[in-house]
Amino acid sequence: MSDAELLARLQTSDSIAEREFYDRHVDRVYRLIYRMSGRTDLAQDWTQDTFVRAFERISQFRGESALSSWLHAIAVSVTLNGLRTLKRRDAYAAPIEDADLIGRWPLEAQPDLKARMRHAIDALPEGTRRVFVMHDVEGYTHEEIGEALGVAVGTSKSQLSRAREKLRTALAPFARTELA
Amino acid sequence: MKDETQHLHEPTPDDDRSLLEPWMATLAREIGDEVEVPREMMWKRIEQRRAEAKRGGRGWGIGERQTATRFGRWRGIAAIAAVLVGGIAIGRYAMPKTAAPVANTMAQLSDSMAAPARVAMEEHLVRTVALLTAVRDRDPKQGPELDVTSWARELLGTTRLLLDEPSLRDDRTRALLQDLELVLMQIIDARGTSAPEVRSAPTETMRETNLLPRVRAVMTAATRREELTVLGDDE
Repeated sequence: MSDAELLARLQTSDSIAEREFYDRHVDRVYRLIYRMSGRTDLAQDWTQDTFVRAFERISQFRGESALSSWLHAIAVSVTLNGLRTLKRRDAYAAPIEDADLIGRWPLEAQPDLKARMRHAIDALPEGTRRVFVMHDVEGYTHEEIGEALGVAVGTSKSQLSRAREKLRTALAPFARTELA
Repeated sequence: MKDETQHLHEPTPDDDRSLLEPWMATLAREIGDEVEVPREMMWKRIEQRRAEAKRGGRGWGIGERQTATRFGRWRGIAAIAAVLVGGIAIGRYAMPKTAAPVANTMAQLSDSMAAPARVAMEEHLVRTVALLTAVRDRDPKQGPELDVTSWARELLGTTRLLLDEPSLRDDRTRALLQDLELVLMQIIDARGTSAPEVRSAPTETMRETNLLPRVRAVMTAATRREELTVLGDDE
């Protein structure tokens, strides 16, 4: 089924098309949210929110962009808003000892290069990490990031630069091996 | 439809002078790929949520709008504030000092002393529904924006008083008041900013926390309790 056909059927609330749409995109949406939030529980909740919202709004979608891009934008919006909500709520409610757990990837038993990268990204300040994931992992432009996060393009660029420098430092021992 | 890869672009030297080494960029993109996606579990929940929304979520918009209009922006603030302060003061100071030897008497006394705070909270929630509805239904394209900041600030103060109230410390009430506190803070933050995420934060949080239906459920429960009390008095 092409995207155009799928869209036409989605707009008639065809349940088979809805499941097809979900199956096509759920992995990418889930992993995007997981990368941005660093938590599987949030990835589950916000993936559900993304699809619920997408199904609610599909009738308004006019096909001006790819269906996947449209869904991706919803996922980013849900995630950014969720992170903001979480941050504010935690500032008021979370016990201090829980603060370190927020936005962290779970530790792996055997740290390897990927684990090291994961922890290095995890250790980035929240805003910097968000820009890094959106730009270098998800392929957003600085203009798009600026619009989504409500920051200036220059701020996005400088945060990305900072993120890259920190990652380079964290992975310096591995860099020699990789280059050799 | 445009090409679905339109978002994806390779960073150019113009983006940044310190491009990440390719192996590092590849590694970063692979993170999360190994995570198992709980497809079926999430799909079931999505279906469940949509079914629930279809069953009951849509019929109360007009009623809320009427409530918002009835209360107006500022009307009755002084009177309600007096009820709130009085109720909270009684709940906070009278209840802990009362020590009755018999367990039944203690329970009855606690109930009766907690009642003013409970009533204060319900009064507070009535006003809150008016504000939340106004915010939810606000259309930024239509004329000057209704200034709800002062209104939200006032309600935020009362919400925090209620959060400190000992007789309102059950988990459900606390969670409700905390979600309400968050939304009120977001309403205050949203004023004067053009950042779309900040502006939409209150409505997004309201939706995500299912706040309005929860507030309304408390109000409905209060109404039922009042009805039962009246029936009991008649007997």
